[in-house]
Amino acid sequence: MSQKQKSKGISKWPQWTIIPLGLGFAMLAIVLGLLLESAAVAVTPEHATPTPTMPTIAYSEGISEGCHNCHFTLSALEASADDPSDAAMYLIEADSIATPHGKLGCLACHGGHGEAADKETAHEGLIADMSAQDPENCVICHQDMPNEFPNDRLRLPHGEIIERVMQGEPCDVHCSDCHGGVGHGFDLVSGDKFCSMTVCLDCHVERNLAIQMADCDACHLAPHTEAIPLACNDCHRSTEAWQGVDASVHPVALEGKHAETACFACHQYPNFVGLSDTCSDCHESNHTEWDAEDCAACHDPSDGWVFAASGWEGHAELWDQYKGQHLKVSCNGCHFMGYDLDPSCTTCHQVPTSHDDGRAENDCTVCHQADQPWDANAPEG
Amino acid sequence: MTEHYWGWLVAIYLFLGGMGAGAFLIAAVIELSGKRYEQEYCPTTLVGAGVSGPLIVIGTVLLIFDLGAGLREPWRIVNMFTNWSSVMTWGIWILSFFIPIAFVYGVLEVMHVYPGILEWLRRWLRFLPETLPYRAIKRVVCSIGILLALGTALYTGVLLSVVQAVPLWSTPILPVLFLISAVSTGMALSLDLSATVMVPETPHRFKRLPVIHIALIGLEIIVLAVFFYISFQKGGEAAESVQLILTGAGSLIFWVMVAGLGLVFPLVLNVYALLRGSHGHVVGILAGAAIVVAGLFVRYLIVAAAIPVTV
Repeated sequence: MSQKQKSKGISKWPQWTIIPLGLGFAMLAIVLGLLLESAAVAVTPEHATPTPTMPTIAYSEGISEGCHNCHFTLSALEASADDPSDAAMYLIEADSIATPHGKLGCLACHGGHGEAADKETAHEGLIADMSAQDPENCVICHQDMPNEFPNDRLRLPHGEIIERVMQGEPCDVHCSDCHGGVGHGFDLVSGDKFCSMTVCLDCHVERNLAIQMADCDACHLAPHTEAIPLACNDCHRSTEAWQGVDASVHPVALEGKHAETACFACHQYPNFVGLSDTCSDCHESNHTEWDAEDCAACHDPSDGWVFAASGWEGHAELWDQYKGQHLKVSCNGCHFMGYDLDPSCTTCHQVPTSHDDGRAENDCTVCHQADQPWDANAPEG
Repeated sequence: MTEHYWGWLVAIYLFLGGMGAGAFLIAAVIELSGKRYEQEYCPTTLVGAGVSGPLIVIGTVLLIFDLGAGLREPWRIVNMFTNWSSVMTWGIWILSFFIPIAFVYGVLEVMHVYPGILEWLRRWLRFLPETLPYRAIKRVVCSIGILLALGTALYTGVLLSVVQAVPLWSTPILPVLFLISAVSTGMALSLDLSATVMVPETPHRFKRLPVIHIALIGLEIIVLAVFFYISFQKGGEAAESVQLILTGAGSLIFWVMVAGLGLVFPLVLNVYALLRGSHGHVVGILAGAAIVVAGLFVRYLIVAAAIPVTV
């Protein structure tokens, strides 16, 4: 502070007083602002309000008692109903209105006159479904409904519906179509209730909506993503049509190694196209000579694809010696050069030198049968 | 003027929050630039440091009153600290850091001006040293505080600009307007008004003061004009809000108190001071008072003219 100067004109007040002075000026400005605003309003000519303020939903719990008197007890409903057999349809469970929407009171959504003494007056101007008749009343509070629900892996058209409602455009999808009677205990959001996909699909079919039923991604977030595996019937239990895609009717039995394989290891994401039910679509055959289309003719997938003895019944028709010990021989025990095989015994067996006496000229089966002891018919006994 | 959405309490909170942050900014800049130490006594830093914390606290209390639920069940406010998707959470954190920093700066500035306070404290707190390196400590406090003050001033505008249901507010230019207004009102309260009343010589110490004021007022006029133009171009409720301010129920307040008193009047006074080559204390006090009052009305008009999207 070498260049410090002696200040001139410093007030006689203590220096600290500048702080309350500054605060005082700020408060004075506020008081002045409030007074001037009131004065300005008083002298400004009335202007029509450009647009109405946000409509509000009347909180009507207190004046809904009249509704409760009838709709909470069946006997009261039957007494006042035109047709007592229909009375049960209008019965409301008292506990069910303990939801946030239910607490708003009946009149908030349904209109009418809760304090009226007679039924006709009470039901004047009754609104059965507010979301169909006055959807903007729902949107007042629910403007920011998300379009995607990652936890449920669902994609929903909230934004488009809300936009239409806010723009005053016709929209034939109402909140109640999916959310039902939110004031009557039906609360999808809580997760306590499971909404079947049938509800969605029935509505889509009924309305002939453009969403392709086969396009899972239209409504489901990444339904077939391997990183978040789902069992097939997590989704495919929902509708009768989709139940057809069940693991039990898979073209290839899902057993052994097949049961452990992820769907998209074989199928093409997301629509399962590009795959038939032949083994060679996925497996490369080591057999150069044999038909690779029917691996199961020799291999048993339920036993880890180990090499199995042949069980082909056609053998017996082609070869009368397909019996006895021959049945125990594995396929490539004979078909080591392929299926085109000469059925002569000498293809596999060597004629012993003891038969050089002329017996080698005969057909082996004259004396030997595969299902009998080797020397059963031998001339020497 | 009918209040559609929020009312005076929120407008005053925005005003006090912005002005408190602005006063801190002015004081901190004078502190960091060394200008404070050119005189034996710098009233601007003393008032700026001293009022910024209390102004913001008063505004915040008003905000709690406006919230209603915050009064009935104050523990619910704690939940707002962790709702990261809400801009209010960011604001709460900024304020939570800025308010203590502002008070610390205020206390340091007062102790610096009144060394006797430290001596008095040492009677009870014997571990305290005989003297403190005030300038070094304040340098750190001001450096951190400037960032938080900028955040506070911007936040008051961001708070409104994220409300998509009110098209008038839903624009990124609003935080810019509030920041400029915060600096302008903060400087007006601390330097032009309070400091000049206490030390009439104050305006002479800041030779470029008229230029700074002219720049700030000019900038505010441009931003305000752009804000109205953008809102008008949006049509719908945004345009109706602008009409409400410029030609409707708020027109008298806007043209007289904001445009006339808060912009044109101080602009003329400062241009006069610039041409004259000196900035008299009367000019300073008048211009300062006008800017402060107009700053309140800018916020009030923008808050009160909010017309929500109709459904």
